[in-house]
Amino acid sequence: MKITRLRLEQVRQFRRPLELRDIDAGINLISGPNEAGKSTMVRAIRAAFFEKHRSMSVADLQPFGDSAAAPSIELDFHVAGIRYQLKKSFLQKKRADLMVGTDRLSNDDAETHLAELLGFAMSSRGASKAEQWGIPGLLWIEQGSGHEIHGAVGNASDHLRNALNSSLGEVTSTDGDDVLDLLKAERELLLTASTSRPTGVYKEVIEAMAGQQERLVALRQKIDDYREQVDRLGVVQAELAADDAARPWEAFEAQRQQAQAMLDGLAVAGRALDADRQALLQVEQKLQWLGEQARGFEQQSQQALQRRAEVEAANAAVVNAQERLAPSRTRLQAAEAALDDAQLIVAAARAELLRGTMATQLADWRSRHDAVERALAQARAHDAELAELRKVSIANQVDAVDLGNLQKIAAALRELEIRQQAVATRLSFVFEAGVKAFLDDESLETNGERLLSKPGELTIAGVGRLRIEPGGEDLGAMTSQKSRLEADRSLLLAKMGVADLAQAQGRQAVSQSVEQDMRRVQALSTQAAPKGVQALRLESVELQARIEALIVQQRTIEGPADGGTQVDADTSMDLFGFASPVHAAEASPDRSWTAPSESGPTPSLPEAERASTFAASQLKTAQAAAQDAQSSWVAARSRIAHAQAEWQAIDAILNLPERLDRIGANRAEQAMTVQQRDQLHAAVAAREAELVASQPSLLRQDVDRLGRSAEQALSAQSRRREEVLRLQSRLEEAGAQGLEDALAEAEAQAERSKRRHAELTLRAQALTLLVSLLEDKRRALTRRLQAPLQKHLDRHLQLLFPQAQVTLDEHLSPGLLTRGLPGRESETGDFHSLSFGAREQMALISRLAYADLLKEAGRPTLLILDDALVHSDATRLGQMKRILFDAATRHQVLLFTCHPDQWRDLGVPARSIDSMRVGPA
Amino acid sequence: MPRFLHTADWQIGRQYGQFPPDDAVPLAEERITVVQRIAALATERRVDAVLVAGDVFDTQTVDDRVQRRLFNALAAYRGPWLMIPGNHYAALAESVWTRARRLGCIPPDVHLLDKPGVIEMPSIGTAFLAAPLTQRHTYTDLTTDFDRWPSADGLLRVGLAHGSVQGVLADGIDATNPIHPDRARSARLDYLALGDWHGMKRIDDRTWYSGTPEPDRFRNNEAGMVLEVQIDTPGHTPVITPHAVGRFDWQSWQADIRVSSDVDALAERLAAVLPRDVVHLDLSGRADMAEHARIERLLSEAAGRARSLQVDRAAFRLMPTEADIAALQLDGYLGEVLVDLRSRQNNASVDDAEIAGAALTVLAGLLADRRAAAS
Repeated sequence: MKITRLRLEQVRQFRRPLELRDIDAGINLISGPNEAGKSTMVRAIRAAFFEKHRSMSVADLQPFGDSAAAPSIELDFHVAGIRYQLKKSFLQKKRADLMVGTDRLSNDDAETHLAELLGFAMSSRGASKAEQWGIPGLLWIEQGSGHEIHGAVGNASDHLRNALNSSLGEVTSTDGDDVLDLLKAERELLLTASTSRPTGVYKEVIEAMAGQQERLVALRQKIDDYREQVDRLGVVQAELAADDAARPWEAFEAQRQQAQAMLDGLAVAGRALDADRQALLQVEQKLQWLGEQARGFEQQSQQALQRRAEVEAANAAVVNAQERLAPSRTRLQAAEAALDDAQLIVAAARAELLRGTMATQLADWRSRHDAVERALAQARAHDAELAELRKVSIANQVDAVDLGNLQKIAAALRELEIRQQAVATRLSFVFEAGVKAFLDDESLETNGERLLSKPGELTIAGVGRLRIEPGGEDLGAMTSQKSRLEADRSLLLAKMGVADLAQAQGRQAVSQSVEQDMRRVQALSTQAAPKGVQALRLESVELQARIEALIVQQRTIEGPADGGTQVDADTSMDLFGFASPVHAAEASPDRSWTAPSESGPTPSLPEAERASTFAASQLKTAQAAAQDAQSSWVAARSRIAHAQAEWQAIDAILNLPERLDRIGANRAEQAMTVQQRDQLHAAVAAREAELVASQPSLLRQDVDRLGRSAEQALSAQSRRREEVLRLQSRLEEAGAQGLEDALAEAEAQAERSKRRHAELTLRAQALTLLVSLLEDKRRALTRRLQAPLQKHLDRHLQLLFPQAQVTLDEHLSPGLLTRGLPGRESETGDFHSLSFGAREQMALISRLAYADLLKEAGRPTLLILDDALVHSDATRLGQMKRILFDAATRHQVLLFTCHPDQWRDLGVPARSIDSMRVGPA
Repeated sequence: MPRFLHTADWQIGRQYGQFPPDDAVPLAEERITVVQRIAALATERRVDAVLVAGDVFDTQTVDDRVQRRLFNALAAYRGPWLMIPGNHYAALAESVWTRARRLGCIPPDVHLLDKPGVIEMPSIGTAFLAAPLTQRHTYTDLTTDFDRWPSADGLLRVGLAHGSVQGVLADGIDATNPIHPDRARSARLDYLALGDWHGMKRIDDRTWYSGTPEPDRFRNNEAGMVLEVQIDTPGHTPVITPHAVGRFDWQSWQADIRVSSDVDALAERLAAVLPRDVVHLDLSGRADMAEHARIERLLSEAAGRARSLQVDRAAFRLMPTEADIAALQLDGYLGEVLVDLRSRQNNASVDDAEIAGAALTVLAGLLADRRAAAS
């Protein structure tokens, strides 16, 4: 199909005619800015074909606000060599005229012819709808819908399929899909569509089989139980009958009674044995007693012999003790003497020690006495000196107050004199040598000066006298005061016994010096006798008394001895010469009290005391020995007496006349009793052997066992009766259930279910096989049918995406796209998962493929692109241009754009809408 | 000149699970009805006794109602009925018989010989030697004792036993409850009435299996008879007269369809099917669509006439010819599927072939239906 001319009038903004002439058979690029009328032109073309001339739904074609307009569209085109001219006007002038070659068709005829020619449908009522657009709907791309394709493909699918079929030259199965649907439905009665699980009757029969199987198992179990019980009943009934006939418990009872009788006999024998054992015991006791009696007699004889020996032994002991007695006494006396001697030596040693101590004491006291005496003498001397000093001190005693007053008076007098001089008349004089001059009585020197506080008389030898009376009224008062003071002084001097103040002061100095001496002497005296002379004196007397007492004591100790005087002399001498008592001791070497056995110096006290202690212990030993000897002797003597008495007693018994008779009787009875015992022994042994032989424990067990056996047999039998009753009633009950009938019935059911299941399984499998085969074949066929379309699609696709593959779905829309991207694994995606731009490109490619297919099938093709590929990048757009250019060699393409510069390299001029406007007709 | 009817293996209470319920119930019912016919025959033939050689009942626990119905069925003949237990309900401690006794439904003229021993009936000049099974299975010959059991002079010695005569029946059948084949002679029996074998069978002049009076399986073995036994005097060879009493004719057929004439042959056989027939047909081979449809139609018609017609089609295949496929006017991929299925029937494993066959049948049926609906 090729449009050669388009003319619009009173269409929207084109109130005045617009004409596009000389439309190229290939690509036509129509450009204009927004709202220039591109879309109006597209709308006009679509309306010319799709809208019925009578339609009232095309008011949008009228110029705005011009309801009187009759939009009209003229199109010249040719299809398959036939020229067509379409003139269509709407609304105010409803008309459609189509020239087909030289034939003219009008209105509905024209529209029907066009629809068939181009492959779309007319709307019966109202505006044309997308579903009716068919092939043009697919190839005429509206603005903004370039990326959508599936809907348009669906609307054109009949035409596409026809195109495919005719290209294949083959008629597809018209029944195939129906049959497939029917079979699928049939299959879904048995198997679920999604998971192929049994459903419906198939599921029911499987479930029924499971239930029946369970019931079969249960029934078989019951029947097995039943049979077991039947068998058991048979066994028990047989046993019951057998035992009822044999009555085994009676035999057991008879045996038991027999064993019991034997056991009773054994009990009697056992009692006899017990009696014999008792008698034997008594006889043995008696025998024992007789033996003891015989031994008593024997012991008496033995005792007599022993006691005789005892008497003799006692006699020997007395002799022996007596022999020990005398030496022990001798030793005792010696020991006593030794002790006495030792004690004497101890006493001497003690005295010696005392004397030593006393001498030391005496020396001490004597030295102290001397010291006391010396101190006493010093103290007395100091006291005498002190008394002298005290006399001097008293003689120079000056009353301190008086002295003070005297000093005050003297001071006052001096001051008065000074005052007299001050007010006195100064008399200066210088005399010629040899001139004698007197003032009053006073001879004056050659050159001097005098103060006259009272009238004086200057006499100059040879010259006369000069009376000088000082002036001033105070001189008189002063003179009187002086006189008073001098009076006081005289009185005080008298009182003090001194001539003048100097004397008084001299006395005071002496007194002070003496008092110092007194304090010094007093200190010395105190030093010599701190507690006073009297104390010293008493101490001296006391010491003297002690010394004397000690001397007396010494003498007493010394005792009457030859050296006594000497000692006395020594002692008295000691008082002064400090002689040691040792010397005194040495002076008398042979003392009567020294140990007779020893001569020489007296041993020390510890030594002596040790000797004494030793002697004492020796004495104690001797005393003990003596005591022992004494008591041995006494004991031996008393033992003799006792032994004698005992011997006599036993001797008396032995000599009793009936003793021999009793011994004889004892022997006779023993012999008799032994005989008795032996007899009883034999009897007991015999009975015991008898008892052992008859094994009473086994007999008791027999009685027990047989008794139980009888009981057991009886109770077993009664249990059997019970079991038979129980089994019978149970079996009766079970029999009433008709178990085997039920089993047979169940088995029949199971059998039927099994057959039904096999049938349904086979049917399900058959249907599954059919459905899958049909689907496979259908797919293969579809692929075969779609092959031409696929070929066109692949060709365009390679230009856009080399090595890419795209599948076609059932409805011939592009499906999965598989692309090998450089450096990446190939990826497969649905059409809808592509980007907006890629979808637009894919959609356009697909449309071109459909166009190719349709063209091959002899259908008219025209491609209208209104602002297409606005989302493509430069590269893709370049590729798409190549694709479009290629397509334009087969199809006419009307490309409307507001970006003419983007399409400059299409090799065709862009035609501006403005250039198409036609001047007023 | 005593005369008896000898029967056995009534198998009262048997269920026929392999049949659909519509068929199974009448078949089970007939087992009681045939006893009525036996009783009527006994009365008609005025026999001295009816001997039932075991397996009166099919199971050890038969529904009480079934028991009562059986004993009611005996009413037409006043006896005596002599019965021994069989392997299906041995004389155990508890059995269908002890139960029947408790129910009190055993008529007085029924003599149950449930203990081994001899019963002498001078009134009919006969001593009966019974070897009832007292266990489900024995491995010793219970009739051995017949040899040493005495009977009064002048009385016939007639034995009743249930088991397998050794070395005569098919292998495996005679494993349990053995009976020596020479028992009649060794025990000086005038007649030995045997049960257990469901077909009528003569062992020797004096030893017979009567078989079951109403057939219950497809094995073709002369079932459905009772034997009239006449023995003039002790020692005489008995005169045996079989009477057919069975109602249903159990038949097992095979039909292998290879060519069109095979279908014609099958058609003839099916046309002859009677209401008394119980038929099991093993169908094998293959048929084109026309033959297939014909066979199905024939089978359907025959099933309407027969008591029961069971067909095993596992080895039977629908094999459409090229002409069939062309006739179906299959377009597109349907035709391909049909051809594919046809080849699968030939090439795949047995199971897959069966599935493919079923699929083919389904598809062909569906297509035929559509074509019929369209025309």
